[in-house]
Amino acid sequence: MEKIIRDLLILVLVFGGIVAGFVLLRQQFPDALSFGDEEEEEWSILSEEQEEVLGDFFMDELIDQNVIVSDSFVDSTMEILYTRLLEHSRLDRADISFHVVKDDAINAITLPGGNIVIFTGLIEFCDEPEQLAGVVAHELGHVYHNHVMEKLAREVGVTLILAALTGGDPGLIQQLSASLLSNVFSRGQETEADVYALDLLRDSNIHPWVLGEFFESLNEEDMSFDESLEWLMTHPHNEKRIAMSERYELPRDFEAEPLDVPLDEIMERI
Amino acid sequence: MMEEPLINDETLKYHPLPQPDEISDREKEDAMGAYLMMFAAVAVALPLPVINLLAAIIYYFVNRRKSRFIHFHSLQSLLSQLPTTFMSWGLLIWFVRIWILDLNEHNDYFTGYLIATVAANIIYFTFSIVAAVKARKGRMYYLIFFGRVSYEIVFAKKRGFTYQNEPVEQMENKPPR
Repeated sequence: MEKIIRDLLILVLVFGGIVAGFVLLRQQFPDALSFGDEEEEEWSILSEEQEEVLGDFFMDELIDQNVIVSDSFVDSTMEILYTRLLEHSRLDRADISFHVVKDDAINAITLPGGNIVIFTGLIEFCDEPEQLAGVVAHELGHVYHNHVMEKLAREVGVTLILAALTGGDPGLIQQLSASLLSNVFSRGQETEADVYALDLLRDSNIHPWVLGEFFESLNEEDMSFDESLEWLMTHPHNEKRIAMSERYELPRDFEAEPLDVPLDEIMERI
Repeated sequence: MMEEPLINDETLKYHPLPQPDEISDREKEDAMGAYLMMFAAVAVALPLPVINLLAAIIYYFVNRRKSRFIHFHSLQSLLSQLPTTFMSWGLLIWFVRIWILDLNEHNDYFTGYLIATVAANIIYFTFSIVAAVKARKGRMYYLIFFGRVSYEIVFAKKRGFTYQNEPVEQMENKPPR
């Protein structure tokens, strides 16, 4: 009997050891035994200029189909929010353009070329400017990690994107637009953007809990999904995101600085 | 020089092992079949590691009463493919989660598990072939762990199996209960 248990232990140790050994090896030497993540390399073959062209192209499409808010008061007050975040974002202000679009959807999207589109529905929905900052920080996370190009490369394919850049057919362009506007990032990308947003909020002296608050009010709006469906969804479920935001550890000397952006007045102007 | 006692612990607890010249060719072939059976089954359902398990279970229950030697080998074949089958199932589920449900679980643990599963399958196949060859020659062959468990189940005297090739002991007088 002892020998049977000994044999079993040997088997478990050998195969457990293979898994653990591999994971440890990769942690020590991240480049060792790499099996080439082709997907990651794929999007990088688009140069920055090409990405910018693609971004301009989609912005033109967006402007054709929607009303862009251009009001000096809105722009200048929103700029306070953008500046606060961008100062600590490790992103260049010149690389990012913000656009406010008249649309009732509670949403914000990221387009190629560092274009972040905020829907007026989102501004109306937010109780305080800090919550809006939380959502914008999340979108900045997508920009920082280049999720848009990763997503496009995965869903549409780089060759098709290149074809579209050099004057492609309208069906292709429609497919690209649909892919971008669907706003579906993979679950890992959403979590990555959340983590980035929480860090950025902390560095910008905005309480990271605002992100959780935002998701809580989304829940109250009954906009979230049934929890049992969560494993199917790509968005980390709101409950988990709320928990992540609440558990976020802050340094002891953290002091939140109020963000002076009058959302009500902005909404009146719109 | 000490004589080996005629009756030791081993002979009390376990049935004697059949020697190659006591085993018929038919038995040897059936024992070998237990291992080879699963190769055919795997080929039929390569991406779905379930047919081989079903085949092994059916083979086991059809053949186990034929003789102690066949019982041992078919049980060892069945037991030894349980872990690899379950590992392959785990891999399949993980694959589905990553590539169909698009969950971001393609991490080092997955790659490590993939390597371990492939290794387990290769080791299992290799030793199954060795075991099949040995069985054909009428030899016992013990795979690590599974060999001991199968021996324990098949040859321990407390198990009340009867085999077609062994005469049923006529016990009219029985010890007091």
